[in-house]
Amino acid sequence: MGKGINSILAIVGGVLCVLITLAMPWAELGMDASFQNWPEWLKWLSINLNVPLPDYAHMSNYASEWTAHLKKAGAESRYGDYAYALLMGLAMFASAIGIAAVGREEGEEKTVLPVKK
Amino acid sequence: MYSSIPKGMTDLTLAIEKAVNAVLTNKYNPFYYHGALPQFYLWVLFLSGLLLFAYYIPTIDNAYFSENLVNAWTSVDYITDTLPYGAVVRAIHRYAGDAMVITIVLHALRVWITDRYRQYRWFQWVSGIVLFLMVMFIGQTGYYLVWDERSLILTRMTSTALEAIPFIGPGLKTWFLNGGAITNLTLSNFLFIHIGFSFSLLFGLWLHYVRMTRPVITPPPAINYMLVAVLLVFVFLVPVTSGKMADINTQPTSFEIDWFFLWPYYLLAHVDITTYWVLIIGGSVALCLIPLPSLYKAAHPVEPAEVVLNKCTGCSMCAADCPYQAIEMVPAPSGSRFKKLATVKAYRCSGCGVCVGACAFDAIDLPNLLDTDVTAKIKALAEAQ
Amino acid sequence: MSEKKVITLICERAADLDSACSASGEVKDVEGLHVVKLPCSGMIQPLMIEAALKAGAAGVIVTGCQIGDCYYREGNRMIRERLLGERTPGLKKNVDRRRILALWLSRPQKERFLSEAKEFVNYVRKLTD
Repeated sequence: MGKGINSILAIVGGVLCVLITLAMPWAELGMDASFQNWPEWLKWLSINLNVPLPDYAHMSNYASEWTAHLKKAGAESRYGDYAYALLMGLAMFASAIGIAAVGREEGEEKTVLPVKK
Repeated sequence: MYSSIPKGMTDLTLAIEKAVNAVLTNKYNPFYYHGALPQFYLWVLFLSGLLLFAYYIPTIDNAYFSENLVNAWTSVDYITDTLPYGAVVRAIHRYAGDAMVITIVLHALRVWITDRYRQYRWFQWVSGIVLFLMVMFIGQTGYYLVWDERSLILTRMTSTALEAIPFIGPGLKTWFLNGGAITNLTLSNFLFIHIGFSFSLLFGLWLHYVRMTRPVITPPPAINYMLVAVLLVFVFLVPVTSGKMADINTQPTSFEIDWFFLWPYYLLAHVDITTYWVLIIGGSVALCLIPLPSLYKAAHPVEPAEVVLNKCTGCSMCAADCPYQAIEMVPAPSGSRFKKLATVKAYRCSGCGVCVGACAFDAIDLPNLLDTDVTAKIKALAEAQ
Repeated sequence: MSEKKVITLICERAADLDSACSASGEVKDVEGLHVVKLPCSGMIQPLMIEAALKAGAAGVIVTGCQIGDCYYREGNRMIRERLLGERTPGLKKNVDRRRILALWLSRPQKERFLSEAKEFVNYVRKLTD
């Protein structure tokens, strides 16, 4: 595999990591956060810097599915925490792909010595 | 070479590792950090355990059910249901323990399959077995600490099993329960064993590493991320829950078994106690004896490197490169032109010849393969037309 | 007159060439390629490589196990660093680097070794100073 694939992997990993991370506040707030429930810093960011953030309120479909799974598996409260852990895990997977793509060294089976001038 | 292991098995392992290299490259191949994986999970366990320790209350005081009841089970319940991210930290602690057992077993298997456990390595193998037994026991005490009905059964089974050992049995039982029966003091003893033994793992690990130069104990960051990510995904997929609170006046009889740590209890429930101890102790001793030299007649013996005394300049390059800490630099005898002299600790030497490659003065040699002979052979081959 | 020799300094646990060699240690498929076995590639002294080239060998192939998988923990990394000049003792400055190749192949990778070696042998024999 060449350099091209490495950079593609790094970019894909990085973008995935950022995208998944963006869903973390949603999980942190119990998975169906409407704007007035957002943490102050996030509200501030959204209003003052005009950062377009995902509309977490519309992710409630996932929220009901995930909560149903957690209830079935025996969890009793704070379902958002579990969802947060899952998103953190997925983001770490994505960042691991990114880091590995940046750091990997090709041609490990063969070393040709550089000719000194 | 890999004489004592079936050749197909080693070749299969090497082929799998090569396939992983093709995808991840050698730098990120987890097989090349197999010993560092459980070590990384140990750090995860220490950190998550510290957070749990802050809220855990080691008592069984459940004689009076009142609303303000505070005991081990309710404190774990509080951690799980009320504390922000408490459930996540608890589940990380649980699954990091399971992951540590898996990675330890993989580590041992790879070391065995690639024939890296005997001769000069016997000490690492035996200390590894002792560490594994310690990890098992620490994990089991973790299951007692939750203090649900399973904990109660496990505590009773353990104290019965300990009591059955001749001579020292009753003493062990008293030590284990911190008294004659299960009391509040029992759980503080369990907490002490759980944490105290965990720290003594560090001493065991020092012994495990002491004969190796530059032991590989930290995987590269990308692998660390993966290791934590696996835990976090399991935290969501299989949330950790407690059973019903233990009540020492009841006799619960069945529990859900965790196959990573609690398999000895499965054994204990299905054979009588004498057989159980014979199997457990016999099995551990047998594992420790695996590197015994007399089991391997075909293996080629290690011939330790020898220093050529009048050539050694005391430059320490061989000592720096030796992968097994087998070369010690000592003060040179009086009359020498140099300050230091290399000496080989034969019991640590693997006969690999790395020191020969490190020496620019031809001053260290493998007795069965002199570097002058190798050079002469190379010359003869190159000159023959 | 036969062609100049190429010497392979190989770790006995790396690519298994026993089936590809004649009794004298010459690789059957590649004429003039001789194998010298060592317990570990870490034992190779840069002096040995220099001696081979000085004595008239066309080239030297250093072969160890896959990087990361040394039986003796670090041997293949060390000889790689020595060849690249990152660890002492290294090669002398005037040694012709083009005539040295390093391969890191595990035991089942005989075919990869043979194809790489053939290519290298053809390459070094055409080299003129």
